[in-house]
Amino acid sequence: MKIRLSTLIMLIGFPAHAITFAGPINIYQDCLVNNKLTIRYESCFPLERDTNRNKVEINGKSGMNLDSAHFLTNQAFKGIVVVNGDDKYEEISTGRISVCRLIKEDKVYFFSKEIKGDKTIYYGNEGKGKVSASGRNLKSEHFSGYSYGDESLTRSLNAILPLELMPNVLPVYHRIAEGRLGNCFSYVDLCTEQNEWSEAFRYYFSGNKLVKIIGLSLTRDNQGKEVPKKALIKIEEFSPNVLHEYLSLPKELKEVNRW
Amino acid sequence: MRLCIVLLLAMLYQAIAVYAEQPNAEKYRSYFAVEQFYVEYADDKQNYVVAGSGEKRMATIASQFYSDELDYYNGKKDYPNVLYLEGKYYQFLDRHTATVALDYHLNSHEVDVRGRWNTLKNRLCIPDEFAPLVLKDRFRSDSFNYVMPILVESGKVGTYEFDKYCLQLHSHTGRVLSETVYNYYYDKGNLCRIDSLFVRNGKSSKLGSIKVKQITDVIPEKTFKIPKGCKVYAIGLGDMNDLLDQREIVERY
Repeated sequence: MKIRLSTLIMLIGFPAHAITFAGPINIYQDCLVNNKLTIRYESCFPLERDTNRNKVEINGKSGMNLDSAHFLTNQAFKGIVVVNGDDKYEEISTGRISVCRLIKEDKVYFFSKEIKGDKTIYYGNEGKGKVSASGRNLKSEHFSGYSYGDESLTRSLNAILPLELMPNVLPVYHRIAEGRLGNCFSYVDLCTEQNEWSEAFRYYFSGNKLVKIIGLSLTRDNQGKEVPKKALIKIEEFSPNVLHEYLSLPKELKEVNRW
Repeated sequence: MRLCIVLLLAMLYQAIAVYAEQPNAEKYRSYFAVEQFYVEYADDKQNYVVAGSGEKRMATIASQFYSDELDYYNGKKDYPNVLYLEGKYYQFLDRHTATVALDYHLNSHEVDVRGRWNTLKNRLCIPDEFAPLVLKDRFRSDSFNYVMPILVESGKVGTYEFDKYCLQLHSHTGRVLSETVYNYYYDKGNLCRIDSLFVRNGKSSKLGSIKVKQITDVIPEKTFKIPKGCKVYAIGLGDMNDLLDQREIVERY
C-alpha cells in the first residue's frame, strides 16, 4: 500500500507530547506556559458560608482560601492575577475591600486594602501600613499546582496546561466536547473523573477571546453523599501583557522584620 | 581488541560503582518503619520534637527565643502541641488546657476553621526533610502519590560524610519538571544536619535547613502523657454552648 509522503511526514512529525486544542485555547495555553499574563475576572457564584462561626483567616495554598474570609462569603467578587516569570500578584476584591498576595522572588507578602472614598488604606500582616515577608514554599506550589487566585479559576487554568508541563500529581482533564453557538461564540468542554470527585469546565469563546468559564464539581463526602459546587467566572481580560505596577509592594506599605 | 576490553571494563566499573549510604540511615529507617521513634531537631528559630510509638504520635514546638514559665517544667517543655492517643486527637493551648476531637471532626463543617483542626494531621506527620528515611506515615494525606527520594551521591565534605537524595517530579509525559534534593550530613556516623533544595529550570532554591539533635527509638517516659492538672475540653461544634464559649470538660488529669 502506497503511503503519500505528506501523510508520512505528518505522522512522524506530529509531536507526541503536545496535546493541542483546536481553536483559541492555544493562545491561553501559551500565556500559562510562558508565565507572562494578566487576568481580570469576576467570579459570580458567591462562596457559601461553611461554619456557624465567623471566619477571618486567609490562607493561600493552591488558590486562595477565600471561604475563610467572612466578608467575602455570599458576595460575588472580582480578581486580578499578574504573572511575570516567578513573580506573581493575586488580588480578590469586593469593590471596597481587597485581599492581596504578592510573591516576589522568594518572598510572599499578604496584605489587604480598603477603599474609603477616594483614599486607599493598606493593612499588612503586621498592622496598618506594615507587612513582613514569609518564606516561599516552592515545592508545595509545584506539587499542588500553580495558583491563579480563586480556586476554581486555578483549577480551570491548570486543566488546559499541555500534558508535557503538567505535574503528574495534578489530574488530567480530557476534552469531551466542543461546538459553535450563534454570534461567533464557541465552547470547549473539559472533564476529569477521580476517585472521590469529578469536575467539568466549559470555556466560552467569542471569536478567539476567552470570555467565560463555567465549572461544576461533584465531591463525595465521607458519608457518601455527592456535594455539588458551581463556578461561573467572567473573564474581562486575559492577555500576555504584564501590568508591572502590581508586581512591587505599594509605597504605602513598609516592610518590617517579624523576628 | 584489547582497547575494547579495557573500555568495556571501565564502563562496567562505572555502572557498578554503587554509592554506599551511611549505615545509620538503615537504622533510622527501621525506627520509622516500626513506628518507634523520637526525633529532636531545630531550625534557626525553633526546636521541634516528633515522636511515635505504635498508634501514639505527638509533636512539640518550643521556641528558642521565648520561654513562658507556664510552659516549661524543669526547663523543658513537657507537653506536646498536638497529640494522637487512643483514637483521639488533642491540641494543647498550654499545660492546663487542651481540646479533644475525633477523626470525623477534623474536616467537619461544624468546626471553627480558626481551630486549625483540618491541618492537625499534617502537624502530626514526620517532617518532609526526613522523606528519604520514611516510607509510610499514617498521618500523611493519601491524595499524594508518594514516591521515596533515591540516593544519588555519597561522599565526604570537610569532616562530615554526606548522602544526597533526589526526588523528581514528572509531568504526565514523563518529562522531569523539578527535583527536590535532600543533603544529609553525618558527623561520626550520626545524622546531624539536613539541607533541602528545590531545583527547577536549572535554578536551585533553598527549601530549608535543619539541625538534627537526635533520632532514637528510646522514647522518654512522659512523651505521650497528658500533664497532671490538665483540663481537656470537648471540641466546639457550632451549637449554642460553642457560640457562648461554654464548652464541656470531658477529661481531667
